[in-house]
Amino acid sequence: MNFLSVQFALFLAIVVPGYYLCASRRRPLFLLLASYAFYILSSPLAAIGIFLATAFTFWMGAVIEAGQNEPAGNASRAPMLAAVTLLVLYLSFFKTLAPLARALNVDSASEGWAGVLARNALLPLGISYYTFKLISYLVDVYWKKIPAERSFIAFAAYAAFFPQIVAGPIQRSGDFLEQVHKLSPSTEMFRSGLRRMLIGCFKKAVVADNLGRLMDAAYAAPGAAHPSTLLAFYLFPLQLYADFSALTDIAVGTARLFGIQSPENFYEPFLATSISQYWRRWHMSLTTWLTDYVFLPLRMATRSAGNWGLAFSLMTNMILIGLWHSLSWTFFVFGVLHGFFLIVDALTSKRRSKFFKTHTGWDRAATWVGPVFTFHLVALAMVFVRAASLGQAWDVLSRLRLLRIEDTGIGENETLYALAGLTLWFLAWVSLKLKQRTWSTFTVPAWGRWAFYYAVIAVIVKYGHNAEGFIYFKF
Amino acid sequence: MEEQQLRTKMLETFRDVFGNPDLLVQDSTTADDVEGWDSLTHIDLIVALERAFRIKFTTGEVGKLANVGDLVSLIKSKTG
Repeated sequence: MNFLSVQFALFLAIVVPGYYLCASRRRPLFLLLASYAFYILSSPLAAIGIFLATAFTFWMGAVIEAGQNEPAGNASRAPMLAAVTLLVLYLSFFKTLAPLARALNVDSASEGWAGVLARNALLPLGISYYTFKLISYLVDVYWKKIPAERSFIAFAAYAAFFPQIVAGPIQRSGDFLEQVHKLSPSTEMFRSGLRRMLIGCFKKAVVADNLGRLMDAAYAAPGAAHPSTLLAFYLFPLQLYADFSALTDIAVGTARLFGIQSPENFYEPFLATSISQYWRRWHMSLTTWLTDYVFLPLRMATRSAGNWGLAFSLMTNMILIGLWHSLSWTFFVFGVLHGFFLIVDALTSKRRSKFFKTHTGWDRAATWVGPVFTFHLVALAMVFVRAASLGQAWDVLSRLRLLRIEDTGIGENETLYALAGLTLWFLAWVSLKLKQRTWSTFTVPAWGRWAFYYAVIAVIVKYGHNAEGFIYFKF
Repeated sequence: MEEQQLRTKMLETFRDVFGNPDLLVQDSTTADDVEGWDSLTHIDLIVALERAFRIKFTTGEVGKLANVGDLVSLIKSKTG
């Protein structure tokens, strides 16, 4: 079910009032039922998978905790490793099906096992996100960061929580479970949720999807004369950011309607002055997850190997980030590129900071040049996110020469709407920053706010382009 | 080891790792409060503390550290 659809609006129109009519102590159960209703409406068969994975993890959490209390000690390590391995295999199995079907060149019309493979080579809804939630729960119980959850209803609601199921944010169990046991959302939280959803709808329909049409044209038929490639190179990161941050806005906003505060995924990523800073600001719920459960154990294991250990841990981490999106060569190269950028960044960071401390003029220049340079590295790697194959990515990169919008073969309207939308979004960001800095006591009167909300809705309806879905739904 | 002695040695290690001779930390200090303390330098700090106190940390111990106070308690428990 797409967040930007009539079905989702109707679903919320039923679920939200139902939630508020429910007694407080019944709300976790209500959230669980609503989440499974959402899941079954989107993907009925896969609901069995999420239920079994959740029940297994819940049970193993209790086993791990019981193992910690045994006098022999460390009896929880084997169950934790076994359970995490099984969850990784479960995720990898489904992640492998689609690439396998592609590699074997089978389609759903094929006979025998090939047809069965092709027909079932779909990634179950949200599997990349809920498996990560379940793994972090097991490791956190093992590390004694949190106790094993006693309520299956609350735990199952955590794994399947519908605003976060399709594309995150990946919330940690401790954070969610603490909130789900005392659900009493304030009016302000509800309102801020609605506002956040409205911002998300605008970013998606007006900015991302109009930019998306430009991208589709630029990537559609790379031939000898393909001058729009440069435009695509610069605008795709903006499209992806608008698209994915819109998805996060709607997810975070919807969760707030039910009194759940979700983690954030973005913090002004294109203002990052270095690639390591960029990764602390982009898809934060995934990168902090990987830092805690992949990078930290790897780095601890290789800490005696000096810089080689650092390089190995960084490269492995980034390749895993790439392959988490999709088991394909393009995402592998995406991971390798970022791994390489981060290794260079890490190995030179001490020297750079020493240099900038003694050369203040260069330091000031770096605050302006840094984001521009970082953006180019990010845009370069993102060609491999957008391209369907390594060949297409290479084709795009080798044609970065000319900039002529009229040759993209699409109307000028989309360009105009997308650029106007981007400008508005930028202005909104600047005004928000100014407000934070100087006008913290200034508030817009109610009539002004409502006039603005209606204007935004009108712009979405008039200039929004309804694409087939969010880019991050497919991961 | 005396607590004061432990804290002094720890602060020296912090100053050395983060290249800031004036750095001051309290029990409530977190990585967000110290310039340059990220997931990469965190391991540099851990390795430097392991060397300074001749101890070994496990991944689980490092994984659940929330602030400097946790680190002090952990080192205390290991140095007896």
